[in-house]
Amino acid sequence: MNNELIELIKSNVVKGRRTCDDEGIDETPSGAPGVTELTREALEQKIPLEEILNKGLADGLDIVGRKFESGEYFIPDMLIAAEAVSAAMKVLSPQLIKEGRESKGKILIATVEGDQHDIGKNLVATMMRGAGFEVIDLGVDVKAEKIIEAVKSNNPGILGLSALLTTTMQKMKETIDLLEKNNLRSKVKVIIGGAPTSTQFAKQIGADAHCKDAFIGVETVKALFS
Amino acid sequence: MDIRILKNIPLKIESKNILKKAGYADETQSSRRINQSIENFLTKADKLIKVKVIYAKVDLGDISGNRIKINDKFVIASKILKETLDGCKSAFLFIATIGAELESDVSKLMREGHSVESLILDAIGSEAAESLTHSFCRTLSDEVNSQGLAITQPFSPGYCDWDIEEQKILFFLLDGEKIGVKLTDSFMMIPRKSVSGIIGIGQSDLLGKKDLPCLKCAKEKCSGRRRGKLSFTS
Repeated sequence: MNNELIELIKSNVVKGRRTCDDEGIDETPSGAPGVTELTREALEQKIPLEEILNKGLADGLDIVGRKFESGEYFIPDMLIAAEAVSAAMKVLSPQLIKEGRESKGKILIATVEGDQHDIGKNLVATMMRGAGFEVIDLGVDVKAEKIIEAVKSNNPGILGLSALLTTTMQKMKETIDLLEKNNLRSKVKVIIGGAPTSTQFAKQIGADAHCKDAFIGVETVKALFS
Repeated sequence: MDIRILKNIPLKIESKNILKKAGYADETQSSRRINQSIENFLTKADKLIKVKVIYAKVDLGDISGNRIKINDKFVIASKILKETLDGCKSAFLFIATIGAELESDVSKLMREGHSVESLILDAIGSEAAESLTHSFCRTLSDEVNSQGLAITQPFSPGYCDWDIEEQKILFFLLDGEKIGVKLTDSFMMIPRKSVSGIIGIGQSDLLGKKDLPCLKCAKEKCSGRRRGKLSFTS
């Protein structure tokens, strides 16, 4: 029974069905319970949180990521699935607090100074939250000094920087240099993303990793936190 | 310099283009939730999208190298732009925007956790800005066609080898704030769903023979890559 319920949570994450009213990505007729109702039921049945989080939600998002990589799913589909996970997290939240569980890791994310682009960064933040990480989003056009202050006060394990312009991507290097100056570089891993960036550029500016899309971003933070 | 402002420009916003901008490979891939969301937003388009364009005609002068002189006073530099404007004695400078309302809703939706709808509305904004530029070009094309002239494709600061910093020349000559567009210190426009640029005016027979500069460009994966010839005929 437990397994069946977990499997249903997983498959409904893949379909992106938050509640019984949702049709989901594959346009399943509404009526059957969605992730919210299923997660409630799992809690009532005292299924361990660990199992719901890992085998239901995280494994579901994993399938979504693979479907994205293979070209079956597209960016909006990933977001739809991530929203379903967020809906489950809302249900689980009181229990998570009660059991004193921490997130899988803290990530600070920002679009660098001079750059107003936020859709890609928001997508990455949503996916990472969906995967169980705590994400602090500093927004767009964020000065290096402000990022350094936020690193000091929040102590994240990972800093994610986004830039969409060849002109503003240089600010990523400035931010990393300022981390060095403040003796913070060894305390936080830096990952970068955005259309003009590349693995080579990440190496050049001293970042730990380049993420070509939101899915790779989630995989990268999982690997860096493990 | 005769500076003009246009406000009533009809837009042709197509769902298939919105879906592509939202990340789908084509229009057959989206689910009903997405299609309904697009439909809902489009019924509110009048409230969310307020188009405005400020533009002026300028004289172009030739200087050696990759530079172009505007109104005998300002110099812009780009090899590809110079090739595009080759044979043009004048040009239109323009700043166009769909206004700030849509963007403010995009941010609000994101803050409230509606990331899917936020992405869709942002894609509608991008499509509207592109459609606005195209409609505006069609208006200009009709205007100059009667004089036996034609226009080039629009070219924006930041395209190819044209330094985005030269955005400041455009904003010096055209007061963007008159249509609610500001330039940031990093030369980006606010509202973001705005387009600025230059459009050359030349003899129809000369411009008709020109290929798009994209055809010569090696950046195959460039998101702004245009294929074929541009046509602004209505």
